[in-house]
Amino acid sequence: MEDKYISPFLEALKNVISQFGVTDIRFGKPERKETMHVDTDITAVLGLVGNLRGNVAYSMSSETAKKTVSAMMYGMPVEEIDSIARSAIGEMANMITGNAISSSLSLLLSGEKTTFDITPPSIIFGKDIYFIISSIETVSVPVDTSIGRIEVNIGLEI
Amino acid sequence: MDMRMTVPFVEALQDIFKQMAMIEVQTDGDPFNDNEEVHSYGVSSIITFAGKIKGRFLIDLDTQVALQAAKNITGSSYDSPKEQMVLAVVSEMNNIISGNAITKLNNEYGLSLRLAPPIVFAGTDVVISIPKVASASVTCTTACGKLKASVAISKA
Repeated sequence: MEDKYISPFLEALKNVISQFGVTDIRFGKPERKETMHVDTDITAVLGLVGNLRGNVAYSMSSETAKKTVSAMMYGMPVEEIDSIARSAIGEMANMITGNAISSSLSLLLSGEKTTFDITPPSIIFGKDIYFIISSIETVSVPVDTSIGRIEVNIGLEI
Repeated sequence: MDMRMTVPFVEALQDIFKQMAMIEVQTDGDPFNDNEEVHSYGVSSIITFAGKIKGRFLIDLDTQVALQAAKNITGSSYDSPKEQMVLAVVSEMNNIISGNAITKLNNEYGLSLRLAPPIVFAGTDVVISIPKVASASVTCTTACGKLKASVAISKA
């Protein structure tokens, strides 16, 4: 997977979370791996179908998740990750991926008829989880923000 | 959710487990409406799809079922479900099961569904949730443990 396919997701993440008032967004060094080990609490993962096929996962700690949901709801305090909070995290994953696809990725694939679709997000909680989200390779980028670290894992079949 | 949607998935699950992994899968009963949260038995694999409708198919295996399937397919023994080969086997089985089921659904109902690649994971105290989408599950029994198949469909 070339780097040019990764940056649209990072830019979209920056775009979306800065709209919620999150600041100090810094991208870490991308790392390539076959399996993805997550030791944070919450992962939101969704799929892409069409001429770009793959999965994208966003992982964060429950502290970061609470702060993210709170930021999305104009600062409303969030005590626990209940069904509304989960739905908000899923919605954020949807927004970021949708944004990435509509803004930059479709330009990269110009010339081809673009027929993308995003599948519904699944939220996975737990400790010490080993994932495989792509049969080819997964690129993992840590993103540090004012509300904590969000790890973006991209597994596209290109 | 329409319970008919679960039929092709459960049939394909039984076929593929028998053909590939030599594991007989008996369903415990009819599909039931499941909670939004699913507590994983050990190893889970999710495959999502989109077309005229969107949704996801989840297979959730007892650790022993996953280890046995990996052993029967690859011929080697594994100790932990977190080993890459075990995860890869479950992921590939789900890919084949969903591929079969989706083809049937597309032929029968013209849904133009396409699959995203499978996701597979194993961890400690794992809970899977798919917000705002109704799911129907079928629990099944095999000689080496339990497994669950769950289909969730949302309107696109």
